[in-house]
Amino acid sequence: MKKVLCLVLTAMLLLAASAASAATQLEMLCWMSEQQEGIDAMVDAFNASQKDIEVTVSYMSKSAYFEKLNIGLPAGSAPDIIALNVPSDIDYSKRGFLLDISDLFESGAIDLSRYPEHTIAAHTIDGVLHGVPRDYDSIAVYYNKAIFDAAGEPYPTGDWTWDEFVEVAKRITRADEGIYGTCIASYPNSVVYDMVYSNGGMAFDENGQCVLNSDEAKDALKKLSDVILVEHASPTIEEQAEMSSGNRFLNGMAGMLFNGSWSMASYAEALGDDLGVCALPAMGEKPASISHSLIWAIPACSQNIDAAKTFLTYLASYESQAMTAATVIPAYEGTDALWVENYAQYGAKVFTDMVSEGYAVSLPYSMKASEETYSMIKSGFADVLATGDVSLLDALTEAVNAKIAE
Amino acid sequence: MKNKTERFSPRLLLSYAVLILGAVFMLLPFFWMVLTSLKTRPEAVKVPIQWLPASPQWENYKLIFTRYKFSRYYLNTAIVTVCEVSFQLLTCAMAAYVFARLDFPGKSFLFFLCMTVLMVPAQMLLIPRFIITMKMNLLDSLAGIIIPNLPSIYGCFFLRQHFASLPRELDESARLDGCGYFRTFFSILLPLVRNGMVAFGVLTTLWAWNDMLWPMVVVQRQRNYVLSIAISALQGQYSSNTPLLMTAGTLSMLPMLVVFIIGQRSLLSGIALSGIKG
Amino acid sequence: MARKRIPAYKKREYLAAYVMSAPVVLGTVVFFLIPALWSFWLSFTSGPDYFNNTFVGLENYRQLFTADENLRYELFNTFYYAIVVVVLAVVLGVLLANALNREIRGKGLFRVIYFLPSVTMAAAAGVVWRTMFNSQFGVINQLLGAVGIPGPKWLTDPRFMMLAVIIVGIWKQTGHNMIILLAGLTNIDASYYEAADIDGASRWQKLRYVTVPLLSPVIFFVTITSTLNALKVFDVIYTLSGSGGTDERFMRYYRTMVYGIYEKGFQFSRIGAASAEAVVLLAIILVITLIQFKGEKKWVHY
Repeated sequence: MKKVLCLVLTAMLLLAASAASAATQLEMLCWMSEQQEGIDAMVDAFNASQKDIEVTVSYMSKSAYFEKLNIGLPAGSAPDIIALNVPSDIDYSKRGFLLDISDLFESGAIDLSRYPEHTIAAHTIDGVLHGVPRDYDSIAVYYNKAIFDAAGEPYPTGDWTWDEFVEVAKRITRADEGIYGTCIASYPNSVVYDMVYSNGGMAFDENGQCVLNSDEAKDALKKLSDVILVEHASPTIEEQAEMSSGNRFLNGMAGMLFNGSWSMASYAEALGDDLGVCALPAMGEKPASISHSLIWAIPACSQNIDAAKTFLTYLASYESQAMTAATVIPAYEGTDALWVENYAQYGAKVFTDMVSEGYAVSLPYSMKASEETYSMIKSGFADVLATGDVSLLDALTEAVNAKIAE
Repeated sequence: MKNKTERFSPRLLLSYAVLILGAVFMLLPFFWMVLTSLKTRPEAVKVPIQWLPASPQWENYKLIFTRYKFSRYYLNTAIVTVCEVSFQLLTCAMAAYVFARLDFPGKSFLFFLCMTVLMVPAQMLLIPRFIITMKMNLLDSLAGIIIPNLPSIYGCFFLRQHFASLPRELDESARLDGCGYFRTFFSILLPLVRNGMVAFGVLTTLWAWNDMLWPMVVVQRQRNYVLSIAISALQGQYSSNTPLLMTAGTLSMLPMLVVFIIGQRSLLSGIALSGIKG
Repeated sequence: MARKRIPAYKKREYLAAYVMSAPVVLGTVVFFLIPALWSFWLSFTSGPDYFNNTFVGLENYRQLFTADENLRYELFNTFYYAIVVVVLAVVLGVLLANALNREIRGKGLFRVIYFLPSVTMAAAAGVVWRTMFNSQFGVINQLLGAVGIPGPKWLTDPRFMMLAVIIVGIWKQTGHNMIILLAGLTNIDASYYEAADIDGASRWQKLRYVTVPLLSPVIFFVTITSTLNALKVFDVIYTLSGSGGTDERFMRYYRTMVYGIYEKGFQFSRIGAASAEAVVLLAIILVITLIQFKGEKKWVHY
């Protein structure tokens, strides 16, 4: 019994001791643990540069991170600096959980002209931007040179139509060995939306209504599902449920893969010299690449608003964003070139070109029930790709609009 | 049928065969987990499966403590577990005795109420507990993890069954000897449910050690993480370092294995006492 | 009828009872009961946060029962899982505890091995099992193939998906039950068995007429807790199903009531709806537990 009491007392003392410090303590939470080195470097540099504010950063898995925020923000308890993606910033912004930082923009402390247009537009909700863009991404085709070599096929160079893409995929497929030319997954942002938009369709119209039942969308989905069900150049949805498209590519079982710039680092590590990148095929007149971005934001319930704003200004700067260029494309003007440099040998410039040449489309989300409708849409795409039945899109569109109307 | 000795009866062989088969089933995932912790990243996700690593990578075991600072999380988890278990052992035994032996107004109602708590899914309680903990200013601290987890109805129920199965004559003879209720509990009955206490101690240690749902919600700063949170945080957004995860999983399991082995011996050597002579 | 005066010794009994049970009872009230009631209240609201919410009466329940397409899958899966796992985990637990209570070589080692699954974090176990159940390259199908059985698609065939979860559930729960039952077995006096031997009882008869009745309080406990655990299962299913990224066409064969609560509450931020589903689950559990307690009166011997 005594031993226990001693242990408890010691524990409490330890806790108390570690809490005492003169500087303002800021807490930062994010989920991107692959970027840990870069983010830690940013934080350390900030802490070293001044004595009034001390920032500690913690990482959690993505689902745990959002769970925590979903629980804590409505209760009024959250870290001082958080990272947000598109559905979450819409959600939190509408519910009033984010701090209004327009004073930082107006005073010029943060110069919004330094960030890509679409990153700012994507996070401006009801006319207000609640955070600072930290990175952006885009979609392109990763390919495995070894698989192309085995089929005697020249490497793709981009600037191609959908039909050309499908032909190439068929030629490099060796289904009996489990190697497919490509892997058509149901992910809206890296596969389906890109083709829908390229084909002239849209996910949501200007009124926020889902329009995935348009002819262009149906046509796009039909072409996508044909690759799986008719041309047999891609594993089925069932097969992908067991082993995801990403893992297949990592294991050298997929010749080409539509995926985002975020995978660059891990694919480069896994495939080394066999990795190549080229632009997405155009299903319609020109290719389209969904571009998503993250922001740093401050919860309104933060206890240290001034300190947080100071830190946020630092996070918005060239210096700090450059430090994460090893694993993501940072948003600040000029930092993306640093990322490209890191992966130039694979052709990484394609990713930034998609944005700079105007093919980027901001990740479409519904302004209401964004998390839920995204989930419904992804599942809906999976149903279509598994069965080839594009009329399912009618039901999906109805259901999504019903959810939005709630 | 020739029986050399009892030992080699076919029935016994069958029992062994079944037990061994079952043991393989139980151990399979662990083999995989431990072996994978020693593989390189490509080897871990290789397809078809590669059972054994080409050469064991002990790197990860070092990394866990140096780069990922797991020793801190071990300490945190140990503190949380010890506090919770010791408190629960004492208080649950008392409450179990009360519910098993004593009679008082509102007993059934109270017991029923407490049982209802067991039936509520933990997710349902998460947010209100979070708010209560927040109001008590205990968020993001080890105390915040420990205190709301101190009351254990599970423990009461478990030990109640053990107390209830002791013969009532023990109570009565204790009463005749002039013992009050607490004395009866502490000196007479408690030693008799020793096996139950050990079992409960082991179980609750395991539970506290592995718990993730509640600590995840309470804790925010990395320095307050417990093992379960730290391991889940190792999962990257788009890819996971599988061998590292397996290493963390193996390492977090080892102390519990030790706890169990020790506790299990105590169970083995405990001899049932009936308490009534003759 | 005149009011009976409570005798002094009874008063002492009450006092002892209240004092000794106070820590647990008070703690339970503050940290479990009040949250449960609060959550119950939340199920009647819908709102941006926990304090400024609007009262919507039975709207969440109405939506749950009429508009929620997932509910029927969740109900089915919850019951399917619970029934199979509880029955098997308790029966196997009793048999195992009995087998390992006798003088068998390696008894201690077996006990450790069988208990090992309970020692793992459910989440870690789910990840490992998911790899093992892979239909082409997973260990399970490779082993089945070695004995000539074509391995099914554990993770994508609706007939087998829940079965895979059940297997993991049994894997995890049996050893846990076994240990608790073992603790109870050691409390059974050897003289009962000696008496049975004198009467010429076979091993099976000893099990049925001596062990089980004497062990019945512990068996009861193990059944109750296994049932509660099974009805509230989450971590294993979450990780086995792919940790959340899975399409609905597969997820519907995995999702249980608790999964629905988790999804609504922590992914979609619909606390009111989540609480409503939690209340429904609680009602189900309540009924089942009451039935089990009625069974206690009939079958459990003290």
